[in-house]
Amino acid sequence: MFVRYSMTASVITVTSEDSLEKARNLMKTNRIRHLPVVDEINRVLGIVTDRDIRLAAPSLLEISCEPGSERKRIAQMPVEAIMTKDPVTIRPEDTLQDALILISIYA
Amino acid sequence: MRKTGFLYEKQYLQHITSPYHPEVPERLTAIWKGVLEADYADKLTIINARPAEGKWVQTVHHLQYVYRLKKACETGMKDFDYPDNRLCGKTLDIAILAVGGVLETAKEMMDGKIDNGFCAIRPPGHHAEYNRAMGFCYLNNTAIAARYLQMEYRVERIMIADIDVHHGNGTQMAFETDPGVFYYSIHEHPSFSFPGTGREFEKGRDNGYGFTMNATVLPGKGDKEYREILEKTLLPAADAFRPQVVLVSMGFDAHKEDEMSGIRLTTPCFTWIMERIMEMADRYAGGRVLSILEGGYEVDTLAELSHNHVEILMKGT
Repeated sequence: MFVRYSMTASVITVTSEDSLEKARNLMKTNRIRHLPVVDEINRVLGIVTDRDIRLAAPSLLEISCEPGSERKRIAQMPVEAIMTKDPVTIRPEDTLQDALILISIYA
Repeated sequence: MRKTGFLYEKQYLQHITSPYHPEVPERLTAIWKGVLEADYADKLTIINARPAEGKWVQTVHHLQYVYRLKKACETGMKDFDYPDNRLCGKTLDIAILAVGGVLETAKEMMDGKIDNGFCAIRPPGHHAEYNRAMGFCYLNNTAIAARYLQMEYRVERIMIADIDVHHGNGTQMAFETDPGVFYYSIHEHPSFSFPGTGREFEKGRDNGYGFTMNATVLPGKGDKEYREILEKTLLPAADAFRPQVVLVSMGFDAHKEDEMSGIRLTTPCFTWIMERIMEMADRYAGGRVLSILEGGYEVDTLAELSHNHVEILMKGT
């Protein structure tokens, strides 16, 4: 009934200064698609998803003087540049019904 | 000693539900016993009700809804919209008289004839929506009173503190886009309690976003949690909003003896809550508090709770 009994307690996170490359690698290694972005005391600042990273990647049709340079530039961009800021959150003491209603509101 | 009005109307007993229904006329007779037999009774200003004008009812409810309710009463239907909304032939008339009594008490307060007041009415109102009766409620007395204060007295900032153990879905709905009415409700968590609304993320919408606040309490909790939550939410909200009038949707059903919820407040906690509300009203609203009865179904405790409630209104803080 309560979120605390259904949630994943220790989640893999990134900071807002981490690079997109790091975020992408964390997703790939851990076979996950979402990373909460947290500050130094683990407060949630945003969320970044594999879709956000795909959308940030340069088009295959990108014409650059130096092949791959644009891809390299984007890989070094901070997560903050593409994360969704102030995401909807829920507390462990809230109920699964609260979570379902929130998802239905924001879906 | 403040001048406190007490809305006393015998006709409110004529809304008959059923002997096994929680919302029975005996609730009012218990309250009358607690208030009118008290030492302080002769110092109360007794207010009698008159039927509300239709124009005020229509500030909150659709006219077709009122006609639908009228027809249901006239044709002898036993319930309305939901099986727990029991009807008798006089339900609508008494509901209109309840609204009228509240407006009469509000008028006395705004005209300075009383400082504050307690409206011992039935049927209750805070679940009644624009076009739907719910939770023993047919006309939303508190919401209509707020509209009356806005339109008749040009009150710009009204705070509704809903202390009933259930969320006042009808009242919230009436004002969720209105920044002139701050609706605050503390209630048992909606995952465990009727009507299932009043989640903490419900904060109003459009221009009214931020002017609805819901505080939820888990079943089994009591005084300590209520005090902490009210200090952390209601009081700062009032400091920010600076209400000119405070309306209280006064439910006594969070009491530990009341089987309507799993919340376990003691009698002194109700006193503590009302004292905080009075302080809040003194600070911003010139002491103008209009308390309107909602729930509270344990008849044996209602006399004492209502006795204390009116005593605080009279004494102040």
